[in-house]
Amino acid sequence: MPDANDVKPSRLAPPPVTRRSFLSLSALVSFLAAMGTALAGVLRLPKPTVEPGPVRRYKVGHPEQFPLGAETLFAEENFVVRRDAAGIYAIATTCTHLGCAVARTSEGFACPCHGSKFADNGRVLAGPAPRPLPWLEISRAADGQLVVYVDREVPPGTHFPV
Amino acid sequence: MKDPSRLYRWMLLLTSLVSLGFLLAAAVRENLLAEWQQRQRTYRKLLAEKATDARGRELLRNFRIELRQVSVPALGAVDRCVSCHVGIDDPRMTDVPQPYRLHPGEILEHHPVDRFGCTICHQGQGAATNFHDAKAEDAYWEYPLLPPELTQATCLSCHDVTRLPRQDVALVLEGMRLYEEKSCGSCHKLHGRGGALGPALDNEGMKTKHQLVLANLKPPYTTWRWHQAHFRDPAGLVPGSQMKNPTVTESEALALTAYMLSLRQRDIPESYLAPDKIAQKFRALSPQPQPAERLYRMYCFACHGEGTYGRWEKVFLRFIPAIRGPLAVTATRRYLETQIAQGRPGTQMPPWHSQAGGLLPEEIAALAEYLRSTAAASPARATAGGTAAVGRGDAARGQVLFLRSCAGCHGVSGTGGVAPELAHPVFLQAADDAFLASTIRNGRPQTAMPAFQRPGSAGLSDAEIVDLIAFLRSLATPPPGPTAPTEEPSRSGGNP
Repeated sequence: MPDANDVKPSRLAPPPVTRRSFLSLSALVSFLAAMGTALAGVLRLPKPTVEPGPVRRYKVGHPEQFPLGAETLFAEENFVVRRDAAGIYAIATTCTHLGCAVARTSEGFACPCHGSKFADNGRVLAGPAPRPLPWLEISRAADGQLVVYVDREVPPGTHFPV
Repeated sequence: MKDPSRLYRWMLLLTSLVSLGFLLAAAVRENLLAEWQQRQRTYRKLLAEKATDARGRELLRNFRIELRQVSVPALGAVDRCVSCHVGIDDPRMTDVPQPYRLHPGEILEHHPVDRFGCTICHQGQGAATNFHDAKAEDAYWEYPLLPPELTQATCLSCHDVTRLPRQDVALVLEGMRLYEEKSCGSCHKLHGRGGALGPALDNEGMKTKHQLVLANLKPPYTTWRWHQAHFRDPAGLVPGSQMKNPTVTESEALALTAYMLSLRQRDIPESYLAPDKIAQKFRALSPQPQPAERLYRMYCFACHGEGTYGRWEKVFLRFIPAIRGPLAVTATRRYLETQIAQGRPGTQMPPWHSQAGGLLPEEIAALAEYLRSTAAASPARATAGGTAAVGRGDAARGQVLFLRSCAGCHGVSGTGGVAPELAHPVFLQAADDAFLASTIRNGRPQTAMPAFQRPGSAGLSDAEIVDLIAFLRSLATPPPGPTAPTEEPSRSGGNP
C-alpha cells in the first residue's frame, strides 16, 4: 500500500495530513487543552475570592452629621472626617513610618513614637515619616450614610461631593 | 495490519475530551451559575428598576457582582449572608421578595452589619454561599439558622431582657414567666439557684443537638424542635426521664423553648455587651432575698404542690409529704429550716443552703415561717399530745418495737425504704424528741405514716414511744466497723 512516508518531508512541502496523524494531532491538542484548563483552575487557587480578614470599611453617618469646617475624629478606627466647601474627606491617622496612631495637635498631627509631624492635610512637616498621611476613599451606602474605606487610598485633595 | 498505537490515540483523545468537558462545566458552574451570582444579577435588575434619581444611578453604577463577606474576629464570625441578602441596608428595598428585602425593624441602626455580622443573632453557617448550607440543619453544623420567631432568644447574649422593648422579646418573657409558674427551679439550677434532680440550665441555649436524645424525634433535628416536643412530653422523648410533664400548650412550649435558647454563656467581648447586661451580671453577684411565697412557687411547688396534701409520687416511688399540713405546725422552726437547708438525704429532697440550692439563709428562714404561717392544719389538733415530756428510754426495748412496727417501711436498721431514712444524722439532728414523739403519736396525715396512739385504738404507750425515740437516737452514732453511713444514694437524676 502506498504510504505518505514515500515523500520526503521538508519545511516547504510538509507531509500531507493523513487520517492517522490527524488522530494523533487532535488527541494531543485536546490533552493539552484539558491540562491547560486544569492548570488555569489550579493557578487561581492562591488568590482568594474574598479576603479572610475583616474589611476595614466603616459607616460614619449621614453627611448632615458633618457640618462645614468641623472635624470628627474616629479614634478607634484611626481616621478623621472633615467637611469643607468642596465636600467631605477622610484622612487616616496612622503614621506612615511604623504605624503608630498619631495625635491631633494645634498645627496638624504628631506621632508619639518617633516624632513625625504632619500638617492638617497630612503633608509631612518633620520626622522620619516617608509619606504624607493617606486620604481615604469615601462612598455612600444605600441607606445614605457615608462609608470610609481605610484600606483604599485616594490622591490628596479628593473630596466627596455632597 | 492494524497499528496497535491507534487504540491508545483514540483513548487519549476520548479521555482528554471528557476531562475537558468536566473542567469547562465546573468552570461555568463555579463562575457563572453560583447561587449568589444569580441572586446578585437579579438584584442588579432591581437596582436598575429603582434607579430613578442620581443616588440610585450611582448605586447601580457602583454595584459589582462579587462575593461579599463580613468578618468579625471578635465574635468569631465570617458571614457571607450579604452576598445574597444584598439589600438589607437599602431603605428602598421594602417591596421586593426575599432575599433582597430591607432588614426589618431598626435593629441594623444599632447593630451595623460590618461590626456584628449576622450569625451572632441568627446563627447558621455564615461562610456558606447558598441558602441550604447557610441554614445548615443537617448534621455537622452546631448552630443552624434560628427560625424567625426564635431569633429573639439570642438578644439575651448581650442584653438584660428586662431593658429591651417588651414586644421584641415577648416570647422569651413569656417563657421566663412559665419557668417560674411551672416551678422548673425545683429540679433545675439556673444562675446558681435551684434543685439538683435535673441538669443545670445555665448554658442550655448553647447545647447542640448531639447532646440531646433524638431517637424519638422526627427530623429535621434541631434543638428547638427537640425542646418543643420535650416540653409537651418529656418522658415520651427521653425514655426513663424523671422530668414531670409541665402540661403546656404548643404556644407555651414555644415560649419555654425561646427562653431555653436564650440561656447562653457565650464569651462575648465586653465592648459588644450592652451596659445593662454588665449591670445585670454585677447584680447577680449579690442576690437579693425574694419573698417567700415566690420562692415556694419557684423551688418547692413542682414536688410539693400546694403542700396541703401529701401524695404518692410514682416516679420517685415514695410519698411526698404535705409540708403545709399538720407537719408545719408540729415541727419546730429550726427543724423546718434545717430540713430545707440540708435537704432530706436519701430522698429526692435536695439541700437548699447557699452552697447547694443557692437560697440565702434569710430566704430559708422566710420559707420556714411561710410554711408555718400558711399551714392548712389547725394548730390545736396537730399539737395535741405532742408536748408530753420525753424521758430516758431503753434503746433495746425500742429496737424490738421498731422491728415490730416501723421496720416494714423504714427499713430494719432505719435506712429507709418506701418511707424516709430515719438513721440519717441530718434528720436526727434536726428532729427534736417532741417532734418525733408527736409524729409517732399522730402519724403524718395524708401519708402512709399512721398514728400509733389514737384514742380508742391499741397503739403504743407513752413509755414505748420514749423507748422508740431512745432507739432512734442510738442510730445517730454509726456502729463501729463499717464506714460512716452513705451520704446520699446515687441519684438517678441527670436525665433532661
